[in-house]
Amino acid sequence: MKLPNRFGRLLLALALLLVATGCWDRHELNNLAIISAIGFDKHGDKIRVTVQVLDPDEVAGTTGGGAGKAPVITYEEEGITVDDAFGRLTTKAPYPLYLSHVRMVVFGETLARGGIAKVLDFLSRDRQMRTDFYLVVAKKRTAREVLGIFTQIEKIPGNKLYSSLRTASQEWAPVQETLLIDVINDLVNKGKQLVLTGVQIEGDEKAGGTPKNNENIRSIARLSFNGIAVFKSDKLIGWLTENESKGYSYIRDKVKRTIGNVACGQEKYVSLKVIRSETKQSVRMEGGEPIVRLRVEIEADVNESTCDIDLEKDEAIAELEEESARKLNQLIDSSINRAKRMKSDIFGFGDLLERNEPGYWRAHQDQWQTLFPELEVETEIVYRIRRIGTRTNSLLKEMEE
Amino acid sequence: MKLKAWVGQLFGESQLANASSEPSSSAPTPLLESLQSNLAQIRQALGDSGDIVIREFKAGKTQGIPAALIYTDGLTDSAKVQDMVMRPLMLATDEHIDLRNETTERVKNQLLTIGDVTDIDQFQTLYGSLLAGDTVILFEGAATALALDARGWKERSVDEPTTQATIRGPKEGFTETIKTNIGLLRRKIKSTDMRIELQKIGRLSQTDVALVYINGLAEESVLGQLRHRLKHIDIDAVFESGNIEEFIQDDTISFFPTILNTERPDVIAAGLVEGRVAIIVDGTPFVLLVPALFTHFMQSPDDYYQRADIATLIRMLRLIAFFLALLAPSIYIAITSFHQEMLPSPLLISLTAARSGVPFPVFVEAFVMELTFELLREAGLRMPKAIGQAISIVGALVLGEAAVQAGLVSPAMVIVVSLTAITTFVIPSISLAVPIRILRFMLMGLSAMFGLYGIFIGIVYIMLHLNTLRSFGVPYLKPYAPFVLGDQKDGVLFRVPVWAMFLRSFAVAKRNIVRQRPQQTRERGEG
Repeated sequence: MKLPNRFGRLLLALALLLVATGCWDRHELNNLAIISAIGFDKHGDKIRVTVQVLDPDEVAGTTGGGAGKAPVITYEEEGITVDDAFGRLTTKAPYPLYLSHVRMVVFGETLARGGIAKVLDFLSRDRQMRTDFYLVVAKKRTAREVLGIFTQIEKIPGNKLYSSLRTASQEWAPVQETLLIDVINDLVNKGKQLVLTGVQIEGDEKAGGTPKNNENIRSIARLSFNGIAVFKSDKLIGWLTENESKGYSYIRDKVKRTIGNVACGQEKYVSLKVIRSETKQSVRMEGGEPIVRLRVEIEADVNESTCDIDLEKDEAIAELEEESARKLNQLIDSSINRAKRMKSDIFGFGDLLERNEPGYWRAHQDQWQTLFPELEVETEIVYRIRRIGTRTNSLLKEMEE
Repeated sequence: MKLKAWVGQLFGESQLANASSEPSSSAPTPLLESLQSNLAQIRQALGDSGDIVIREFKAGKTQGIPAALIYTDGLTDSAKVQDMVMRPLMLATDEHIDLRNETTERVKNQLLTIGDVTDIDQFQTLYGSLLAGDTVILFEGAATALALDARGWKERSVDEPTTQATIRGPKEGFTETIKTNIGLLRRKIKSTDMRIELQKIGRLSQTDVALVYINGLAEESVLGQLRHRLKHIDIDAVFESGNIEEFIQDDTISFFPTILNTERPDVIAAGLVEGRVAIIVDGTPFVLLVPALFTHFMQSPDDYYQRADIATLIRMLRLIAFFLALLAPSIYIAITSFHQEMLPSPLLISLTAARSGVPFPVFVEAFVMELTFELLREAGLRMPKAIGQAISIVGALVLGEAAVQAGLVSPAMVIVVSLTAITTFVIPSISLAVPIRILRFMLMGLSAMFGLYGIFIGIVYIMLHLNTLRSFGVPYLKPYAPFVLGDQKDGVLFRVPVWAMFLRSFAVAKRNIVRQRPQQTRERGEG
């Protein structure tokens, strides 16, 4: 067959584009229901999906902005699977649901107690989902309730939760940021159990769902992060307290910066700002039993002091360091003890064993749940106080003198 | 030439192949000895045209012989003719005029105080030089005429070029007169090696075309090809270098220019010393320069007149502008209608809010806006200056502001369109800006159908196309494809300081490539 001429060849080449795969799902921007947060709840034996769809006009529009309308609208629907529910949601949403800009996924506590794996399959399989959103558990609440609260300053609740979780996880040890990939890794990994940060509603949640919430200086209801939810496999089995959560963060080497307090008398404290924290985990075998060793190195600044101690003296600082280390040790111990009681290896010690003592791990991985509570953990803490800020002694101390 | 035949066929011109072009000119006829019969012949040939002045007189103070002065009104400097031709002839003593056989020789050698005088012994040559502005003298009894260069006509002065303004650099531009233009070049290059080959193109227009190059620098192959292509132009008239350009360019089916045109003598002079060849066409200030590669169209004369570091930054800016001008609307279309996940959430929300209520798909919106801009631009060109402002008011207020207010167009789209408009003007060469404008629309279509994937296909196709282009045998993308390391010193992105440019651009010059001798530079450094 004769090859067509130049023009014909060009046409043929262009025709190839038509059968090529690529970008075929064209949607105009204003014909998308952009979802900023998704909530999952258990409803009977079905899954209830709550989506927060952005109203861009209300958020960024030039006309009519700030008219007190809600910046997001939630739609909810039940289904036997997540996708089933999403299918039904299209009967309510004005446009195709668009999942690429989801910032937050919230699990209701009931659903979490029943297991979250069913939901995760959809999240990790759907091609629109990105992997940079955070997952949290609504503490003692349904996700639906959490997603029904007006937020202040950052008007989009999904974005508000995202940015405050991001900030808190860097500045406040008891809060953890968890991405989808972490959740999935933890679920399939036998040597590490999943934890998720909890989100809670403070205040009157009924009024929090109305624009009135944003009209007051003291908002009627607020969303805040609190505590870490401990999972065994994909089921929530309990919550860590704030101190236990802190300990958890130190053990997992997740602390970027945080605040630690040391008591030094009746209602007198020194607050230390941790500016650097590094935890090294190691394991050694003794008599056929593994012993986990944690070495935590902390650098901190004195941020506040109401104590009588004389910060000008090196001995006082050394004493403070010692006291802080002791306090931290307590936090870590309480955290480990709690996890042992719940029989859930949230610290990934099993993982550590698998990497360092693969022989032992292969032989015992199936009994790890029962072995973990017996595990001996040694802690070594090196606490260094670097700076004491722009004054030396406590103002209270100087007043007394 | 397959293409030429195909186009002819397409427009049903094939049967015209044997038709004659103009009334055929007669075979060369020698001049006669009789003045009156010569004049009669001339009158008949020129059809008694009103602008041909024939002045009969007696040459010689006392006796005198009949003579005639012929010139074209409007092309002749009459003061010159009076002072330097008529006066000496009419006041001449018999000694000069008497001996009939030698009249013309004597007049030429001893009487005429004018520079350029040539002998003419044929009618055809006489018509040629007469219509080009020469003054012709005929004597009774002589079969030879004298053509005197007493040309002089109303001519535009050497002005600042309007199309290629620079902040720093010479402010003179070419004019419509080839002599002035060659003079401007001579003033810049006073080398014995600068050669000028004159020829006439156009059967009716008889336009002077000059090939200017520097002997020993210009590549023989380029010169040879150029001479060959110019020789084969057979057309009735040439009025602008654009006419010539279309004939001699390498690739007709391309939006991209392979011949540079400029109004600036400094650009041409710089091109000549790079070993390139200039083509000056009488009647237009636009001079052609070949070979012209992609890099040449991205360079502005300013680049060489200001500091190298600044020039480099400006070239980078220009490259960014090039891609923005080409791609901004299509990328906007692709991302907002296919790849919303690529945008950060806050940006997506802002764009969505800006688009809410816009009834058209983003492609239609972009297409209409770009089309409107092209219309405005075209209208602005044709508008008389006095009402030119009306266009900007209509464009800015009515179309921009009102369309957004009415919710027909999103403000984001107005930004994108303005951006492409601005960036298009950053590209120094208008002839390169045109293909960008055309390709912008094509890429918009591709991106509306296939998203970023379509844009990449389009870019790949453009790159392939650019790689097939040649300008007088030189690859269009040289020095990038093929890659020439030495030429990166002065390319699209960089310009090293002048003292670091030791060699001429390899892209064009192949012999005598040394620009500065390194040891001299060193001496200067020590001093």
